[in-house]
Amino acid sequence: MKVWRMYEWVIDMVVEGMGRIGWALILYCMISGITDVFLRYVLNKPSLWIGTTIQAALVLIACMGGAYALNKDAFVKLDLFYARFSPRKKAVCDIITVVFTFLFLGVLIWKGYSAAQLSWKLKQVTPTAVPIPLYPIKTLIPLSAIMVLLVAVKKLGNDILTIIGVNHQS
Amino acid sequence: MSIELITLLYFGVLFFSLFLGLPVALGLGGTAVIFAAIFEPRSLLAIPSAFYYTPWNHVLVTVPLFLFMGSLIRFSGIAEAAYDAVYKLIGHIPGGLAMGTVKVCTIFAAITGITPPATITMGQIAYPSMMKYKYRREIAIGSIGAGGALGALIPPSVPFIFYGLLAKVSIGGLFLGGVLPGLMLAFFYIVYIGIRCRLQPHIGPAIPADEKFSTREKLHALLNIWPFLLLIFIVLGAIWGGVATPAEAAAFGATGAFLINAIYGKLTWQVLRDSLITTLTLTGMGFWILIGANIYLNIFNSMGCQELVTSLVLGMPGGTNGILFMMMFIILLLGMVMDDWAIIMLCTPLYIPIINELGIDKLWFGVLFIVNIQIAYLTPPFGFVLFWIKSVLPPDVTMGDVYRSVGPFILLQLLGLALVFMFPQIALWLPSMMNN
Amino acid sequence: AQENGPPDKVTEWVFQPCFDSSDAGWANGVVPWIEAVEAATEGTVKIQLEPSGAITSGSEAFGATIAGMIDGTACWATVYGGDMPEGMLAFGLAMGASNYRDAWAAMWGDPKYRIGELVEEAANERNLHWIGWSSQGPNAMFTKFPVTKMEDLAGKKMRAGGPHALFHEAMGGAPVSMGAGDIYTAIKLGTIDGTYWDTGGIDDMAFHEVIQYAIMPGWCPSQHQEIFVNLDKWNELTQWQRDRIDEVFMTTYFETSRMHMEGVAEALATLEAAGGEVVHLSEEEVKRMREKSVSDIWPKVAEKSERNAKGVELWKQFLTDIGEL
Ligand code: NA
Ligand code: NA
Repeated sequence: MKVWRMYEWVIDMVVEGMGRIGWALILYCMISGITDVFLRYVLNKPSLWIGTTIQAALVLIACMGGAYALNKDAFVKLDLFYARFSPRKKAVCDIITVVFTFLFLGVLIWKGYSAAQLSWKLKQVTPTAVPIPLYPIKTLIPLSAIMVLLVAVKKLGNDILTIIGVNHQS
Repeated sequence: MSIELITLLYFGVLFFSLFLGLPVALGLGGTAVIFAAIFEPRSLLAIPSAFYYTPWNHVLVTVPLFLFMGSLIRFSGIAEAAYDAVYKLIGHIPGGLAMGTVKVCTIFAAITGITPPATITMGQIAYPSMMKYKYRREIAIGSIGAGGALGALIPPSVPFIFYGLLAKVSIGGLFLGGVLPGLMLAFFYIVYIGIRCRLQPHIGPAIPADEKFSTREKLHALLNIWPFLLLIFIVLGAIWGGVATPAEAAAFGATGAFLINAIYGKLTWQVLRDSLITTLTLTGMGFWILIGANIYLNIFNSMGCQELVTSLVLGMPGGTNGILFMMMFIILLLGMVMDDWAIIMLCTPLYIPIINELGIDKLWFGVLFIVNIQIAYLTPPFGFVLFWIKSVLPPDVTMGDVYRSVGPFILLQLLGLALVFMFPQIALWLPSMMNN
Repeated sequence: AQENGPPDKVTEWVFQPCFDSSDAGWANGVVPWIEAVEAATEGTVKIQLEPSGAITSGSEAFGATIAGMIDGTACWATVYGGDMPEGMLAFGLAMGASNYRDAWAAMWGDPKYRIGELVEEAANERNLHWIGWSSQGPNAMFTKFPVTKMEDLAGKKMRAGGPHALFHEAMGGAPVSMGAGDIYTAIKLGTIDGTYWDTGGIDDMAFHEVIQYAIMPGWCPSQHQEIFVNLDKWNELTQWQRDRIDEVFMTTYFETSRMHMEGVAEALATLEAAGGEVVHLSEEEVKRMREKSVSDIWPKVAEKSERNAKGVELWKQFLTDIGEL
């Protein structure tokens, strides 16, 4: 039990850290978006890289925001029937459907690793006038999927604890 | 295994997983992975690919930025103050706040090219205020959902751009074609809310008779609306004044909200922190659904299921109208699981040769198409507006509540679709005026 | 199966270009090439063509071919250039070859240059075989303002992505990057003054509704699209099949390039019918722009790889030999 609480604590900490990066990325999108327009409209000196880095920031937001949102239980569900279930019944459903989650994340990690490898091999950059390297971004995709998987494991553990009656959270 | 059976199972397995309470994003991705592994293993590479290319999209920056804008003015209390002010001004009308919400959504639709921004911003701002004034959930959610869906129909519109490119129809013409149907729908919603609340005042109660506001109070209330008006002016002005693209204008909205908070002295660390938490949580969730939807489409195509769409359409009896009906029906079905651009990318190349063969006006068809996508977004059990709205509302609101709320508005949308179908001039009149 | 004839086994390939079925590269490029391949191999190679976005996005199609997720793709180096910079030698350099016949001579036709071999080597290194090629006519400037000389572009805000941005910057202009879907509205509302685009595609984008001038021969008088197939899939074919497909490389190049030029003429006619004007820059002005391009932009292509450096030198030699430099 102590080990499990420790695991939860570590996951929460790492995800919180990813959240801070996510916050910074949101602020970056806002500030650089305004700057881009200012450079173009007022100074007539458009940037050749801001737009591309905003696109990159969006991918990183998906990377950071996935684990963050799942850890906060903010992934939208069609809780039509689910909402009315007892905590125990919910836990049983969660354990059935977790197969989908693990398969999806497993493939995202496995194939994401291959995609990252290829990107490094090609030294992949954007075809824009100021090339932005893509391999770091593609490397972060499987890494952040691992974090989402660890959050999913945390939820699965709590579901099991609920079923065997140890956990009393809903 | 036949294509028909695979397609049926593909949808069936998804429905099964989602009804067991699996998050939408994971259900889409998980189902796609299972089918890809069985039928077309090499397409599993599409999964990380979609994770990269889906958010790699200029226009999606509007999602976090409009969320941030909405959160800032909501957590600082500015939004509530503005809605209080509106209540003082039009609170004597039953359902006034809900009607006002539809109007703001319509303005929002002229700011953004996609659906989520209006839905998520108004979901955050308008819903708590309507709850405060004892509006019933169904009218509050319905007005936000239906109003939000207008974002795709009223220009600028990203779906129209995609359709125009694929169908080779003037994008300017399509934009104009969407104006009247969009305004017509907004008008329907407002009239419906007005009548419904007059007949059943407990749904959207007016100010009690003993609580009238003086003219002075009303004038004073106007002051509290200005931040709202200023934001709309900033964003609309940036786009239509040629300063920024619709995607860039979202940064203006967020910065505007930031500065307004500062002017009001409400830019506290708490407000900023809560806004960032909300924005990241909802953006993360939303992007994962969009990624899941693209993965679902990519695997659908790599299994060869798109052939089924063509054969369904061409096998439909009833001549031109039968075929049109089937096309619209398929869009409605796909709208459950796919994003607007995905439906357009999938259907347009399949539909356009048939449309040309039948001699149907492609501009008119495009307007029908987008009106229909709006409906698909709102119809249970799945729809992107439903997902977004559910995610911004408090946790005690269930999907069942959302389903019950949108019903009447879907009927109005269907009425709108039928009218555009029967009277093509609703779509074609404005574009033809501009050509002369 | 016999050594000198079609095999019994039919090979099926899935192709997804980086563009969708509305693009000129579809009906005037990849479709005729597929028909030629299927006919030449007597039906033993069948190709299923999917639009961009069907199996993956256009920007991912090149990598997907390398990885074997799809068997082949048709793409512009303006899209895949970040994965294989040598593609720019095939796409066409700024103010490079004036037409598709010259481009063919420099890339494949004249044994003195054979720049195409550099591109094929780079493709092989990436597990690809370069299997088809087509000129898509000029990639040009479409503006709200008249342009008769280089200086007219100075200070103008034009939508320009990769190599177009380098060109526009070299001309003293202000290149703006934005998503393709935003261009129409941005020109109409005055956010930008025009765009760089494929000439044959301006009517598809309805740009003739918002711009006034088409500036010929553009920044890249003959831009190209390449078709690549996964190298393993290529090697799985019989020698007979490979020989037949190699034979249609040149014939489809000239056939589809001619088709594209007709598309260009149509697009420009549409612009003129809408009240627009086609400006043809004087020979002298083209020469000035070419000199500027060779001195300012070509080195940027050359520095991307050793093969690029070699290829750029060969292009210079070629244009010098035919008297254009
Ligand atoms: Na809109
Ligand atoms: Na739906």
